[in-house]
Amino acid sequence: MTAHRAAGSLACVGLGMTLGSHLTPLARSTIEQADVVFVAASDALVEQWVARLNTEVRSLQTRYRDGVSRMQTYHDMVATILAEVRRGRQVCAAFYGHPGVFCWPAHEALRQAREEGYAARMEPGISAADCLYADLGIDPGLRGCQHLEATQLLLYRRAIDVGGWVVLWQAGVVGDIELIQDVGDAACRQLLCEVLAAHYPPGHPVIVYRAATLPVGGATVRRVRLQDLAAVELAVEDTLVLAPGGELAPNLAIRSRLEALTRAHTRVVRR
Amino acid sequence: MSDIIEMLETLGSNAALRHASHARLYAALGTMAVGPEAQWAVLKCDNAGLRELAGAPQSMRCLMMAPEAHLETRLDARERAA
Repeated sequence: MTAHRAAGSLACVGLGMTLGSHLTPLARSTIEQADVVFVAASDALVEQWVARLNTEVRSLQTRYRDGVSRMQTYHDMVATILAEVRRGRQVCAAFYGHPGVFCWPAHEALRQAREEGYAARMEPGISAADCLYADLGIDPGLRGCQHLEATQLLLYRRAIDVGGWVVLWQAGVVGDIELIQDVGDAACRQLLCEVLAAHYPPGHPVIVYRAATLPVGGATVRRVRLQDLAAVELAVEDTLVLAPGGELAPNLAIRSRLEALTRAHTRVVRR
Repeated sequence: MSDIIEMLETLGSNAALRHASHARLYAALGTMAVGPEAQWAVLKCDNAGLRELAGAPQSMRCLMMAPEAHLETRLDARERAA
């Protein structure tokens, strides 16, 4: 049992991606029992749904402002959440998907709360990545799966593992280094395509994926070729998925050593 | 329309309905406390129509992450302050 200095507490929970389908019993209970719930949903109907679970639900949507960097918005969200924790209240911050996956405000709010001596925890949710594995039939265990934020791929020299799946998040706003755009820019998408073209052939298949947020219909899946990607309209919610680009290259030196180790182990067992 | 949210929660949580055929869905919707417009929107997979019927905004801002460069800037500022 951990001793906490202060009376307030913070629980960051995930709502999952699809209304009614993904909320865990523990996350639901956390929302229902909190003194105040802050919600960041990806669909207004999901926000209305959460509002039925607790009489004091406040939307974090109001923190987004036109022309203001999202980084400022994220800081505002953290400050808003922490203010209630400091008032001694049991606070729940409910984020769509998983609160620890592509969700800076949740990590930062928990970090600050712990630093100030408050009880703080995260409850996982079903993320867009989880839905992606199910909807596209991808098992990351087979060839590996690399997850990257799309703009980061432009800003840094990253080693792309073409032997496995590559998933690019926030591709709809790739290149938005000011963090103020809500729609993508074709020139920035072209830059992304140039970076990817250094690793994949022009005809390489790319899946544009979007998980279902409402339990009406399924996920949105579009299949395009890399050479056509720059001209494809992408929404903020869209994720790019690149299939493995070639066969895995065997590591002959390590295989040889591994076989020697296995033979030695077998000898020991036989004795 | 009396309860679109309750209908959606039912559709999302009931295994027999989440991926049901149109015929099955049509029959189930008839038993729910929703009007014909909402039922039709479900059958057409019309998310925008459902939001309109529920009086909900059509779009939400939902990005929660910045590229690493912005986080580095934040860390630099914190280190400078320290």
